[in-house]
Amino acid sequence: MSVALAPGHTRRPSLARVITVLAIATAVIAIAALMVGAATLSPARVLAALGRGLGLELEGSHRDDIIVCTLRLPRVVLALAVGAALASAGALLQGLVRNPLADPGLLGVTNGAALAAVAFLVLGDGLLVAAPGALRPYVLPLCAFGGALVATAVVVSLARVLGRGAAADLVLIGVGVAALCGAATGLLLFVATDAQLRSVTFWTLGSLGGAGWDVVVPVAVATALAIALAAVRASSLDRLLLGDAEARHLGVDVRRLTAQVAVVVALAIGAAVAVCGVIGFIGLVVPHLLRAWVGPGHRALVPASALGGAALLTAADAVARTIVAPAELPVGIVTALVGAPVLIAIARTRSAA
Amino acid sequence: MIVADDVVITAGGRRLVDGVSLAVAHGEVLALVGPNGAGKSTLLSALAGDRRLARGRISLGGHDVATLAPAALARLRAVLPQRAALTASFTALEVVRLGSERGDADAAHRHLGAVALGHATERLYPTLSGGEQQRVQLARVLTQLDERPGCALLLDEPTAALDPHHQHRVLALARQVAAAGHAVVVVLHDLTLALGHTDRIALLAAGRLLACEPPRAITAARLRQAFGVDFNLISTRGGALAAIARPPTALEESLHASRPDLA
Repeated sequence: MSVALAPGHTRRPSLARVITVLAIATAVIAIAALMVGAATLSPARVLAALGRGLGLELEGSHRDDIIVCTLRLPRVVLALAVGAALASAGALLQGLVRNPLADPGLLGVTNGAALAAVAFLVLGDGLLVAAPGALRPYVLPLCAFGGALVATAVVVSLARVLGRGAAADLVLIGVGVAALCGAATGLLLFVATDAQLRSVTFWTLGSLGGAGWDVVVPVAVATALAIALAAVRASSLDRLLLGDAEARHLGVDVRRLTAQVAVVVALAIGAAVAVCGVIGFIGLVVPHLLRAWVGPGHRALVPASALGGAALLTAADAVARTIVAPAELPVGIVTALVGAPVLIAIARTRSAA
Repeated sequence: MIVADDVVITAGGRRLVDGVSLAVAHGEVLALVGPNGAGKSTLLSALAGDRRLARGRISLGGHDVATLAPAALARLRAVLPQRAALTASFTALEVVRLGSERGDADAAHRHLGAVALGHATERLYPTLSGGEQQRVQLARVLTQLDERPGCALLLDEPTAALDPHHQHRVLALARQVAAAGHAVVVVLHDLTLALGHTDRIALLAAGRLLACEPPRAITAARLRQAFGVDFNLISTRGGALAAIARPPTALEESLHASRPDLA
């Protein structure tokens, strides 16, 4: 935490220190997540299995290899990637709209994805039949991803046409588009059968159960884009925190930067939602907590949030799949159970300050 | 050199700025003065390149501001906003470093010292007082000018949140900036500050430029024309030093009735 000087003073930790601390914490949590499940393995056995997976000559059983590398690793890696995507997108979006409590849902991304996914679950049997066999497992995620991108595209272009393409326009129009998507989703649920409602509910609660190397890649790529954007445009994003006019006076092309952030956020959230459904609170709480330690500067905040989100979602998923074993809790319930009290605590400290 | 040529700015069918022409040379400090709604801030934001003009042209260093991209404009002028909306927990030093393209820390320290906040570099911006925040923003703006001479510095009521000591200090800084080869335009409400610290005063009323003269040429009649109240000008041989607005007659009578000791 920040070193206490006189009240109101602060000293920032160095970027290298932040990344090192969070990377170690994330690695520890990832290994712990690989240890737990139907069979509990020791850290040594997990590390040995991982080492063998990398081609090292280490002692150990083939059973361990299957548990660690085949069964658990894809899911842990997916949790890392999705957590990183949600939290880094949240950090970018909170900076863009200058509101530390902004949620990625603000741009209509989540609702757009949900609408498309629900539309597929309720009406999409024909689509599934028409899809080539190899593509069938990906029809739902592709629908959700498309929905996320379309919703964001609508929000960004309406903000440019009706407003000035500034963050305030994005938020207003985003809330409107999200509400429209919500209403359309509601209509679909109204006509849905009970079985369809059940699959919609499970999708809405979020799960990492669909893990596989094929779905990790798009999420990881989108996260890398978010971190890269933050690294390349860090000072422009920081200047945006001064205000739209001030950023422009300092030479920032506010419209272009706003659109870039919106697209990257939509890709990251869209990919995450497509693969795992709606997982709340990671994008909201992680950047908010880390801001107190690393400061609001994007150069440190976005990569730190990516690591923090990766660690938190991996831990939450480990809890979700072990706490009621052999059944599995939707991970969205765990993140909400952890996230909501943290949020309330934050609100308390903010009002006390 | 800042040149405004027959500038008209309209909003909702009203002319906020109505045919204003003026030029500010490098090394000069010009005050924009006038009653509320005279168009001072609108004109200043137009000089910054923020406004679409209904008519006329504004150029900075010979470049038409309407044709410049944000990055190019940022190399020609720096702007101090009337009120900054910053709520993020940057330190004072981090805010000032945002003014420099390279995030230069030495320059940021120097400019915080210039606004008498050298001791507060690690303070969090939201914990500073309104006047301190204004001075941090000024230091940020000075940092932006650092790397390139011959720019425009546009200040929108830089003294509004400041005590008298810092009011004078900030305007002395504006003078230093001009002496370093920049052209300075400053919106001021305090006529006495304008008289004491600027080379010329542009008097605006209802969007029109009534006069653009050195302080010593400003007369009580001109001020009455602009503000609609009478002024007492305290002058020496060098020119006016202070302008004190007298209450309108009706207000004066009621004041005297309630405070006989003042009569």
